[in-house]
Amino acid sequence: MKEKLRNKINLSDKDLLAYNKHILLEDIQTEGIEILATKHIVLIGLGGLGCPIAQYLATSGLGKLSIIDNDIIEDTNLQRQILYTSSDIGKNKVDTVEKKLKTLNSDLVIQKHNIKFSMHSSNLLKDADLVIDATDNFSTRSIINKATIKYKKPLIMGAAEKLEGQVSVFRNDLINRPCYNCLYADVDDKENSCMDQGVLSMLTGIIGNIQALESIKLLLNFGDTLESKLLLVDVKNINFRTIRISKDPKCTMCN
Amino acid sequence: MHKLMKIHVKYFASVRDLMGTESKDLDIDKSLSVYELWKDLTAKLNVPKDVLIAVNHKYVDKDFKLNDGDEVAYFPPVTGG
Ligand SMILES: [Zn+2]
Repeated sequence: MKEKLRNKINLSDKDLLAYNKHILLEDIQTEGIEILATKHIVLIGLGGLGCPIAQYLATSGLGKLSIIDNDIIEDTNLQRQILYTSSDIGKNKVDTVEKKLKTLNSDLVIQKHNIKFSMHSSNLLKDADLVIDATDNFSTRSIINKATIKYKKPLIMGAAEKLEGQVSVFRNDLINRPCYNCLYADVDDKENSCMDQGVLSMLTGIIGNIQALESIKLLLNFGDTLESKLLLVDVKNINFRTIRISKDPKCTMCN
Repeated sequence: MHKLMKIHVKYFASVRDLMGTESKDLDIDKSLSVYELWKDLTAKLNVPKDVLIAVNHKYVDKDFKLNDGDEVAYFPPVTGG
């Protein structure tokens, strides 16, 4: 099944109103809205990070969003996974997100995949303009990194646990840029995190929104992004710090 | 005899909680890698061995050698979501 992206060379009156506050921005304007309508983002993970990302991308005027997740909505999700309500418990995340996004923007083309992302499904990235990693564990993050290198796609990584988070933009579409593995290859005990840890709901909202923000900036090519940088976020002490990352010549993934 | 090197140490996020302080200034008298310094700093503490390290706002390997005047920041890996 091949769904066609909207051809929005001429924005309708409805579009002009819907995107008015973005059109008024010097960095976006009507041209930006027209460009976004032709773009395709693949979002992997529909949890605490993926929910705000999906919501803000849907109302940004993005043309197509692919969503990948095989989880079922649970009671413990509702605190931070803001697209779900108590009546959604037990349902598939992808079906529920599709339904919610359609109410936010009926023009958005949504392609849903109720699967756990792996190298076997990496061809889902083939016609993406960029990929967003909103997953919750190291091994999937590593696979997404590998798949984006294979298909030469920019990768926007966000992670959050407890009261701390990280965001980075890996230009895996370009050569001689650092990848996720350049940063995380040295860490041994990668699965110390996730399942048993708490996470502050507002933190996942902040990190997810920064990922959505960086994706729009990258697609419309404005401002400085987190390319080859890592943003460290400490919401307990409301501290933000950016550090530079360079390509690790010993990295086994990107060399 | 070695000249003393001045090192400014920063702890970020949960590492700050573990160390009980945001930063400290050290004078070190021998050449150390950033991870050797981390092991010294945490010798008496029960802390996870995994830490990420930046020197002067740039990500570095664990064997990066410190120089006089460096600011070294220790921060936790984050992989959840
Ligand atoms: Zn790499």
